[in-house]
Amino acid sequence: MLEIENLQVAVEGKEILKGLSLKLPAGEVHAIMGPNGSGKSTLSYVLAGRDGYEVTQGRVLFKGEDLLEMEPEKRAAAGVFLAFQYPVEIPGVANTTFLKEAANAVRMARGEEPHDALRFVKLLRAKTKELGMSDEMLKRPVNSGFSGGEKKRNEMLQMAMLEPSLAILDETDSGLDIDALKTVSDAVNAMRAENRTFLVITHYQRLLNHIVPDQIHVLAGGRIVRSGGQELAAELEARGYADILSAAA
Amino acid sequence: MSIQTMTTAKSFVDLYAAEKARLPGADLPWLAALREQAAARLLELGLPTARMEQWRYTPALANRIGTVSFTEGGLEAIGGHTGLELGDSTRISTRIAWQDGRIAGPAAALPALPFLKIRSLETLLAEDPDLAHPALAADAESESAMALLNLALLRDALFVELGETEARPLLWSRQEASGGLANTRLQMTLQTGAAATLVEEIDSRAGLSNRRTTIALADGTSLRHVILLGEGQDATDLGEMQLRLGRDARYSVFLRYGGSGLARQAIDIDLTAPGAEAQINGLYLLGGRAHGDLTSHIRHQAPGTSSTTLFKGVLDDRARQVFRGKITVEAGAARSDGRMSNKTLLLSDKAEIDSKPELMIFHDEVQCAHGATSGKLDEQALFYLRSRGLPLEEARKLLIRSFLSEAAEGAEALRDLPVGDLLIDKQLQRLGQ
Amino acid sequence: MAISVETARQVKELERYKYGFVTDIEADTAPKGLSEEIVRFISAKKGEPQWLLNWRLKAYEQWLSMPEPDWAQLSFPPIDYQDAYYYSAPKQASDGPKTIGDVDPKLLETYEKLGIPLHEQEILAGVQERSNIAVDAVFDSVSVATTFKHKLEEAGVIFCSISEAVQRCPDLVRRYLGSVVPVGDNKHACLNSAVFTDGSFVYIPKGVRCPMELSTYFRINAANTGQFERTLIVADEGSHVSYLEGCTAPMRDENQLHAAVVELVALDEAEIKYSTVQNWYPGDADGVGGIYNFVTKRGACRGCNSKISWTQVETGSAITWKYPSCILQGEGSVGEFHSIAITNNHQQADTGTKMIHLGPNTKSRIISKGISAGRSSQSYRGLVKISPKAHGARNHTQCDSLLVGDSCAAHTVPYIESRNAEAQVEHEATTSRISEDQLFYCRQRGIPEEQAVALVVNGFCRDVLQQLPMEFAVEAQKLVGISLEGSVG
Repeated sequence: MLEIENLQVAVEGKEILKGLSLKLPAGEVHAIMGPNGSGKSTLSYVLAGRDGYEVTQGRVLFKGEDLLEMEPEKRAAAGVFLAFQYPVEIPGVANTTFLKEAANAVRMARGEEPHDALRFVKLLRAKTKELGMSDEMLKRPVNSGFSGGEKKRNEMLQMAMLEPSLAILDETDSGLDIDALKTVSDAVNAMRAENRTFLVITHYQRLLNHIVPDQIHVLAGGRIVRSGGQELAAELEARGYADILSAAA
Repeated sequence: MSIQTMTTAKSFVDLYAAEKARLPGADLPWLAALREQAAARLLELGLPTARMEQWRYTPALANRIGTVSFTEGGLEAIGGHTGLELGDSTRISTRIAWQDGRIAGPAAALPALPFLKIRSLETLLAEDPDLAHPALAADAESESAMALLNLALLRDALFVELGETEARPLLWSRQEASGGLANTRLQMTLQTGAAATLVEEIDSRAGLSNRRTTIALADGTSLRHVILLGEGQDATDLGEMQLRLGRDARYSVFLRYGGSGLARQAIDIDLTAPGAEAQINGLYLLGGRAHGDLTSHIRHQAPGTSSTTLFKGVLDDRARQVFRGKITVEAGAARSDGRMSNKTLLLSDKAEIDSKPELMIFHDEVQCAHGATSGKLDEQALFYLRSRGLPLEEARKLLIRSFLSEAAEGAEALRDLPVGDLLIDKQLQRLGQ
Repeated sequence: MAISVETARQVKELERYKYGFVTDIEADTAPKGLSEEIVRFISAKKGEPQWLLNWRLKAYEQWLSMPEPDWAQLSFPPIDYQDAYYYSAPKQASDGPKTIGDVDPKLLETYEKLGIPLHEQEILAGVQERSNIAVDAVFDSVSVATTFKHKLEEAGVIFCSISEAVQRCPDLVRRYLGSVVPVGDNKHACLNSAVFTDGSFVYIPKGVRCPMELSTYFRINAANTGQFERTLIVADEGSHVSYLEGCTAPMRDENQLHAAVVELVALDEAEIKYSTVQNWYPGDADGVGGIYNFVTKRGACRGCNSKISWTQVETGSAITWKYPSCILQGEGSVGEFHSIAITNNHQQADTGTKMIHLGPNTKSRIISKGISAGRSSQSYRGLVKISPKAHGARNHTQCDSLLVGDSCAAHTVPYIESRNAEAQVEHEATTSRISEDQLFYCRQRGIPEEQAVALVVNGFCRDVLQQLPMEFAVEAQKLVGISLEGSVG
């Protein structure tokens, strides 16, 4: 699904990713863990195509195509979804309107018919309910005045509506209480499928109790320093990053 | 001594014609030519009137000036006493006293320290005329009638040069006028690494003081400036000030309007290099028929510059305050941040606030905001305080004080002189609040 | 239908400004230039009474010596008033009263193309989308048709062209014309007073709630022609009316002058809601051509608890100079100004409002949303004045500017004058550029950049869009997107 080869990225002249390589096969869930400042968010923004991140070397193939060449909206249409660590507020734009514009833009880019209004609303209501969100949140402006937990649920709602083939969750667990964490995890687990890959970026191990990954990678100093199974998370939880980093150094 | 009624530009120009031979530097051809040019332009331009946008809310000058004399003035040193004490008595401090437009006391008495040079107009003209020339030449071209008048009849000026020093010298300038025309000029340069605090008190009993100030802040310098305007009764006090700030230079000014005459201060600040920062904080507590005016223009000319303006006050009786604050963000001044706020409490139906907070934005990468409010004391808060046992007058005073204190508390300029509360209290007493 | 396609550039422009076509119709046109004779000519064409001719002549005389207003943040070469036509009417339309059946099919076709239905039958039969809107269609200098007149007459509402009103109800016209915007108010209004050619007149009698939305559609067609319409709306005690105004013009390389005057009068407990979607030709991407829109709009809340609310969506014109205002005289009267102004390419707009609080307990609310894109320049200019007698007056102003691209300019110039301690005035303003974070968020969800800009801007304008009647709101939302085309990337 996604192949990252020797990716080097600089922000304002400062090198953040220093040769990151990673392979995500279709249908798998991979987690990236790492201390603050290791480049986790940079990786997610580069994959989504945000301005201001200069790729100095390496390449990223998504379904065999050069991802880095594509505009952000083309990546979305191709199936890349980023759940933001800090979802952006868009005052004045109703959540429903936003979701409809996005879902239809993606469908049209994929050569599908746009949703008809009635079907769209039905689908939206159903997904909203699954995520334990109220219909009232659909009328409110995108993320405006939402609590931290509501914002993250809203990200999951968008993911459910856009049906991506690669979903990147950037610290989606941060700031969530245990109930919200469970809702978010359930949403991800429900969407796990053969043709869908997840990249879960997190600082803490606790999310991985709910979303059990196929592989865990430790990101530090702009590189993957270790990869392993679920036992790696337990090791991190018990001994912290420092041990692993010094062992890797 | 000559006494004339000053109602038009012509009366001032006539005065100039009569006095010009006796003005300082009359024997310097370049200065005489500049004065001549200024007088001619003044005649052409006329005195400011309310028709000029810059003077829109401040009544035609001619009506306010009445009779102005151009006196010989006293050269005796004056011991102006403000009742304000320095927060830190160990610092290097210098007091300069002006009387009727002249620096009181012999010029030689002005201190000369390795990093601090203070000279009067006559000294400077004798020692270093090249330093005076550019600024005076610029004034001769000015669009401002007051700048032209200032140059034409300028009798004294203070030139301050400050070099790099660990200390933050404090300069205290007190201007008194007994009813004449007091044209004064203050020109200050802070060289890289310099920091200073400047306190100006203007206490004219009558007549017209016409103050002109130019300040240049080189890279990395800092100036804290306190201006206490118009203690006087029926005086007209007009100040125009221009500042240029270099890279990472910081300028903060605190203004207090409290007299019963007319006091107008115009402030033009150019933020010419990245990191330059300006802060204007001000208070007005006016009663009677007092008229205050703050006309500020902050130009963000370079990326990463910032400015804040907070101007608050209370108006009673027939007092009137004008706030014309303008922020310009020029093309290319990316990541500029400009904020401006003006809040007024009106205590009387005859009082008036005229506020014009203006934004002129020529660059997209900016954050600018302004706000203005006016209204009366919060009835609910008043009721709350009274229900807790405070007498009405006490409650009013408390609310007014807390309303005003915001402007003093956040004022960087008052860091060395924590006199905000004192200034507020003094004025509240005067207003009978 | 002849469409002027002179250059490839214009063809391309056509795609963006779809109202840029010209109707080929024989016109009755006065000689070029402005003079006392032209004023007399216009008055004679309309068969006006002597008092009105005198009023026009007085205005003309005053106009000659008045200076151009120069305080706005606008720049354009001096206007050559002698280089324009002041009267142009489609031939047949200038001959007296008419019914829809008499209207030249070419004109009907024009309005159809503009999306303005003039066939009442079709509207009633539900063939047309827009329903329940009566339309007065003004083509160049004259009103060519007014629909639903009879239905309105049943309710006692007078809705006709102002020329017709001068004949039908001269007393009403004489009493109120120029009572809100005096002849010498400013040079543009003064010119209008001298040479206004048509416009709409509305009178809502006591206690009547106007049964349908009223609407005027202004169309400048002829070349080198100025449009000077005059609108007068009087809402008598306890009445209520909602009025919509739309405007378009063909694309021409020269600048055309549009100097309108709108006067509103609301008596006790009356309410007037006035909405405008202004989409005059803005000129091409290089700033060639376009309408000079110099408009004086003012409402007087004369009665107790009366209310006047202005809503405007300004997307067109090369230059807009417009300050719909309210004079709040009646105790408890309310004034509102909701504005969206979008400028792109080389457009310039200087727009805002005046809220003059004279009476006690008067209230006003101002929401202004300005969007500058391309190389355009825009200013909000406003005055809130609280007079000594306006005890308990309140004003709230929210004024936000959004910049799209790094070559545009946005200015905010509010004047706030309070002379009453019992009054409460609040003003807030912000200026910022369109948020990169918001755009990226939209694009990450698959929304293309231009669409993302339109979406974010529509969100920014939401508070104002909500004020528009439904039919206009949908149109305005689309217009926001169209106006910003080409502003990114």
